Amino acid sequence: VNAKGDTGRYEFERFVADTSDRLVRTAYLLTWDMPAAEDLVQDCLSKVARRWPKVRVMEHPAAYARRILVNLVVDGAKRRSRHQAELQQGAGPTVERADEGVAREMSSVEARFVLVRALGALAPRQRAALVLRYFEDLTEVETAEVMGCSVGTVKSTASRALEHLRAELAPTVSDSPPRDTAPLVTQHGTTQRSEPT
Amino acid sequence: MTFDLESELRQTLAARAAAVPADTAMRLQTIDFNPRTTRLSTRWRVGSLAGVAAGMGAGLSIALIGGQPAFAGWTSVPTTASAPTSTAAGHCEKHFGSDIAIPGTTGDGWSPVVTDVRGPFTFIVYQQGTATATCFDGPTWTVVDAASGNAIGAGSAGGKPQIEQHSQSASVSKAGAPGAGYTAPPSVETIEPPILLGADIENVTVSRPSLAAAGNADYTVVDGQIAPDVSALTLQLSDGSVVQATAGAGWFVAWWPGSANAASAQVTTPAGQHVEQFDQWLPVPVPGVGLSCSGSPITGGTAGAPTVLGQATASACSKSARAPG
Repeated sequence: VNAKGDTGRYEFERFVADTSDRLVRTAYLLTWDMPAAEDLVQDCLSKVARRWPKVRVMEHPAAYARRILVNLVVDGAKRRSRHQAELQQGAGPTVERADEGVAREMSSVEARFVLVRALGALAPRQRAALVLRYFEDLTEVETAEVMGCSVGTVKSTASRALEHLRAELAPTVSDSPPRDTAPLVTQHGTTQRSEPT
Repeated sequence: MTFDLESELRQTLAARAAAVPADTAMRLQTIDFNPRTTRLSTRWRVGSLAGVAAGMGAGLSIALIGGQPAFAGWTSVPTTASAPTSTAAGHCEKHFGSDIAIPGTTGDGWSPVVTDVRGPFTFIVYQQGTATATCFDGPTWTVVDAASGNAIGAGSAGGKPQIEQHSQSASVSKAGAPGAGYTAPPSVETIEPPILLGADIENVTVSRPSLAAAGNADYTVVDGQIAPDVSALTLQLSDGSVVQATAGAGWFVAWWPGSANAASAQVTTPAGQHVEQFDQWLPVPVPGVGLSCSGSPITGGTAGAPTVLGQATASACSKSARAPG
């Protein structure tokens, strides 16, 4: 038995089993589109597979896969084009169901729903910065490494993304002052601490 | 309560991520991503020739199968591994460009890349550009299978659409002595094909599903490409028997009577010999209506003309040509 070949294959299968769930969820947030996310993870894992002899000895193979994933999104002009077209046409059934599900769980349905839609409308690079920072919980330095840019670029990209989200949220929360949207208006208009520096 | 966009963002992203269907990751885990540096292609097929009996037991195939009437004269070790005989080549190549047409190619462009001879049986793999085809020539029949590329059955326009949809392959069954004319196989069978999982081993790649055949005269073929430095390849079958493949110049082919699977491959390289295990074979669902290869085959335009069959996608359907007894 060629132990080396078998070992490599089984290790990769375990890697896929361990990471595919997280990768596909991240991909979903990066693309805001479920079919595209699944395709993306397939492409990502195929790339990892081709480089597996090198990847398997890395300290953090999963981080390497995540970096490939992000690069596929950010650098994928075709995917961006398709994504934009889908946004223009409105979200598909899967996305809408997911949006509704998310919205139902939120304390402020309208505001959260707007937030979801606003996130979906972000440029892929801006959304990637937010996903890495607020879903993957990466530091700015780690985010910069994954995105292949400087820390300053991460800060500015995330800052612009958050500004966009606030701008999108403003009309909704200001138009719905009662209940728990009222605090949102107050905080939204006064809080600066959430702005990345 | 205060509004914290970052906190809301975390919750929103987490909630949306949780909306990913649970089966998505599981589906991804079933994909063969082929974790190696060199991708090789190969084909596994199982055919069935009716009217002859073939059975396999344990032990060396040559001792047990050689006397079987179905494939009398078959040997587990290739008789030769050189160029095809003129007789076999003549039987095979007359079909290229006539019975089998591959768009963008001509019948003259096919070149044999590996020839396997076992007694009176010759199995030839042809290549033309990126397309490959095989020809299995026996004493009383010839099976031509353009399993790769865009082979279609020329002169088969009147065939069933469902077969034409899957016309990646063509089989021709011939009866009688060479030059005596052809008769259509009496039946084509659709069976439940198993799929070979995890068959991508270091030097031999088996990424396509195997096709098992019904009938009492099955034969199994494996052909494809191997690493350039592989000089010999011996397959151990699931029933314990051993078949030496014809291997060289990056190609290999082996076939044996019956439907036993290849369990492992002993690979010979300049560095020595080692065994590479194939993973288990698992069944896949029976093809649905519309994908079936069963039913009457497409026949040629004239009586007694070669019968050309369409082949379903490898994972969906298989076919077997039954030669007259």
